[in-house]
Amino acid sequence: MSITSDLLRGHTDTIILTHLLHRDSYGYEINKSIQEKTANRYELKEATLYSAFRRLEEAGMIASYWGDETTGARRRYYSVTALGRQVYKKNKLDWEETKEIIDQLLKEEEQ
Amino acid sequence: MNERIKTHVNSLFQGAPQTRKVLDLKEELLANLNSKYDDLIAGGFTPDDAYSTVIAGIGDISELVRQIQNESAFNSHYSTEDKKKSAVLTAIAVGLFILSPGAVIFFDSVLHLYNAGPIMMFVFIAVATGLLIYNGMTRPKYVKEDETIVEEFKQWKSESSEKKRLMKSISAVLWPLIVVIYLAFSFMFAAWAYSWIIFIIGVFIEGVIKLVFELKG
Repeated sequence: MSITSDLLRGHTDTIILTHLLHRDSYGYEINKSIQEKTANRYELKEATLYSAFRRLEEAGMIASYWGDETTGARRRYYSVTALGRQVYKKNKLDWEETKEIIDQLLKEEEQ
Repeated sequence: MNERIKTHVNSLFQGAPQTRKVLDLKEELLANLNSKYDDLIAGGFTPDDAYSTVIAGIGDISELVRQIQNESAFNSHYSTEDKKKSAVLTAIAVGLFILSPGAVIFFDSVLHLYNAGPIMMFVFIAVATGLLIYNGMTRPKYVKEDETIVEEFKQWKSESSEKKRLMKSISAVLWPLIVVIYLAFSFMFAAWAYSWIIFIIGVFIEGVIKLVFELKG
């Protein structure tokens, strides 16, 4: 998984933004959903996840607030901002274009 | 709350400054790690396996803690610069106040323009007063670091003391101004008999300003 992880890491921010598009969420829930979507093939380290949260929040793409859990510990929730949605759209288009280009370049030429 | 996870996380944060942000990160991390641990146990992991899986998933957070530390250092640097600016403004304003009677002497005795002196004095005073008020208004507010009660309390405290500070700086400007007007008016019109009434007006004005502030608060 190590080579793929390097390629994936560059998209951590966009992956998080995608997860927040439809509802607010917290660190573990986001990571769990990544694991489920990829059938346990990919999971973020906590360090990577929180660095990304901080980076995104500083850039104004996400906002955070503490939840008011009645049982157990408080959770920090994140929500996507309007800027975050724009960045998501742009990154997704960029990725689709990149994917096409790489696909073309890595295709074996037919003799 | 799993004690082993807590102990491990505490060891990760050992030596880090106990700032609000660092404590928040620790609390967030702990809550999420515990949820993960509970899920793993529910999924049939033994406590030992669940613990090692959780710990292995954390990765290297020392870099993250360092970043947060640097941020706090930057913030305190920022406020030093503001303090400097505020000190310069106050110094200029006080200087203008002290120089303002000099304007009268200069225009009267050196240039023999008898009306220009008092006018210049009032211009000096007006500029100095403006500077002091500007300084009082533009002091940086305490900005909330996050939505916790402690931060809200700090902001509330800062806001109420900011009001007090503004009130103080207005009073500090008001009274010298009244004395100057009293002297200038009395000298120019030889009105010593009744010009003292300005002090009573001054008390009244101060009372009105205070009232406005209280109502706003």
